[in-house]
Amino acid sequence: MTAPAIERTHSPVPEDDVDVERPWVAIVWNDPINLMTYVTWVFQKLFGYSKEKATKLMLDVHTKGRAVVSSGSREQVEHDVERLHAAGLWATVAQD
Amino acid sequence: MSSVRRRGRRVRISLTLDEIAILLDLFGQIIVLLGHGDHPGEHADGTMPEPGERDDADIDTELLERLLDTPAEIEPPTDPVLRRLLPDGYRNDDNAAGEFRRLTEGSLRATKRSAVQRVVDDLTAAVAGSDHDGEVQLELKATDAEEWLPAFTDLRLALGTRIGVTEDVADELATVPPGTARHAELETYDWITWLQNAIVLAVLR
Repeated sequence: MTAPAIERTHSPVPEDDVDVERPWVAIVWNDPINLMTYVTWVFQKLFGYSKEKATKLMLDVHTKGRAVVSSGSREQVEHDVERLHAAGLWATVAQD
Repeated sequence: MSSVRRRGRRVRISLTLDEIAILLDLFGQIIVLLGHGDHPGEHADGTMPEPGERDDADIDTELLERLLDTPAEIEPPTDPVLRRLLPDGYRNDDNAAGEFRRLTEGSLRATKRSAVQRVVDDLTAAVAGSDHDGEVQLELKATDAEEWLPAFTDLRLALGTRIGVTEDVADELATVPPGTARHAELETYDWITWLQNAIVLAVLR
């Protein structure tokens, strides 16, 4: 089994050399308040994900503490994080 | 007792007047907390600006400010509840987090406030249309019920942060002696959690 995109121990090139290539990602962090049902619904609603994909991401957040929920240009990802904040999820922008 | 049922494309929510009074009180506090006006120049602690800080009579200037100006800087809120409602957009990067906050906090406050206001308006209308005796029935289109969900999330984030809940909140409620202040606040939180979850399930169906 491989870890999701946040795992980069097997990266074949030094990270600094591929800065331009590294995509921006929106990370959702676990919190003790948000409902599992609601978080799944948010992922479906905001990103158009299937119920299966949204449920898997929600469970990743719940069990691993965080999950990458979208990626793209910095601008797109910042917009996603804004929408996640509006929905009450704890989300941050990062470069993968 | 509150109940939530799906009927075709509609969600029927039944609440007592007492329950609605609690929700209106709490949602009202969230609106105050998020501040007034939709420019992020308001104080982060939710207080109103001092007289003279902004000239409300000078509409043109205010409009220009809103159109042309974003604030030079916004400090992250010090209140843990506001900090949770308006979180940092970046971790371990204060500059990027500050810039993100400068550009987004004002509209985030406005979005959250209008979402909460919508629930307040729906609840107020339902009370006005009821016979003021016992149960109040709300019948919302499922798509309108969806619009309630972020507001209920913000209410639970605020309440849960203020009273300090963990993922084991249900266990704690089961062990805290009834009649204590802690039991009362956990019970309120638990009830709102149940209500939001029931609305999510009704929307998803």
